[in-house]
Amino acid sequence: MYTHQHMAGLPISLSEASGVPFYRQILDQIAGLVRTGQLPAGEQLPSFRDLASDLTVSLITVRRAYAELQTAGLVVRKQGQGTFVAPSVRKASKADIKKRARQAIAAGLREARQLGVAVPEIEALTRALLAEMEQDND
Amino acid sequence: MTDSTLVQVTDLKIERAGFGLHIPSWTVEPGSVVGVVGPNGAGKTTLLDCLAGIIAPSSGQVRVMGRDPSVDPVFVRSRAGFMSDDRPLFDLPVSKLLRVLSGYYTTWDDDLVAHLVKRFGLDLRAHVRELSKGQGTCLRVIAALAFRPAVVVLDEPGTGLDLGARQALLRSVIEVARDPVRSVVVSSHQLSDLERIADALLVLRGGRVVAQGPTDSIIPEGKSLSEALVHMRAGGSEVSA
Repeated sequence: MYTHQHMAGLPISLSEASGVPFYRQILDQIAGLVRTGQLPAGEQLPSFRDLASDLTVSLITVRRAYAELQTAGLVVRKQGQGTFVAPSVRKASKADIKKRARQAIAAGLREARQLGVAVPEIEALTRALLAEMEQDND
Repeated sequence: MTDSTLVQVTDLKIERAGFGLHIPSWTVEPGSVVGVVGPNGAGKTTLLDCLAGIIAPSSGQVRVMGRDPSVDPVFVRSRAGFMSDDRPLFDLPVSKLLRVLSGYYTTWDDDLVAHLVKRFGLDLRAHVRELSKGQGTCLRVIAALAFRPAVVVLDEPGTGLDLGARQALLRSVIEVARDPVRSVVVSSHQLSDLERIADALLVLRGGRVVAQGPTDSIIPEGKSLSEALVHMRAGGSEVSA
């Protein structure tokens, strides 16, 4: 197990210990960089091969992360030029936000199910967590 | 398969006393890292030795860069870099051994060698016999990469490497495939490493292909390669590339 700290280019670090697939870690971290404006609209992303080499992961891993970023509308591919942060990316639509929330919740639920937690218990836990968060916000 | 296919295996059969390897169809496309996986006795080394022309097929076809390695070993071995711990090294100081090897290849790259020696933390003044098993492996890997071959074939390069050397190895393998016309074939027991760097996998068990294809088609979402292998049975799922 080791964590790779990125040097030049994108500040992405991958953790083997987390158990989260690498493509998902890359996808989440680039999405975060885009959402926080560290990767501004129109900015070019590294090529598949460069990022794979920099992160020491397979090409297929980077390709998958980029494909999902494209599906999520965060990046666009320009034929023969590369991958760029989508021009419209700052204005995240309600649909995008809902989709992102859905993905985040689904990941948590999937893990809970894999741990063998029963559905009623997940429902109870979710309600309790939401209640805690409401209290924190008050 | 296209003209640029670097390795092509068609209906390969190798029959030996008590062991048979059969690979119906397998290719290595340029710009990729391909992992060969399987337990001891699966046939990994037999296959890789066959690519090197050390073992001739009983039947079927093997082509490395379009040539039959058992017929044209000089052509193949001057363009493909083979690494195996089974092969002995001359007992010289590391620097001298590398200089001797450089004489065999017109494409030997001294700058790359200097870079790799530093990355793997190898002592150039050490005698080959003084090297640990892991350091010997690193030296063999460097020798296989040093002449920038189009195909690099590494048989269990991760065995006995410490964490730093393992990282150096993974990085060096990925760097080869950064070039869209070059590829690496690597066998390993270190499944998490292969899962990390391999674009495609060939899974062997008892001389048979258990699965082959793009890595993400072989490993189900959220599973590790070792978990995926447990569920595979010989003659089972075959995913086409």
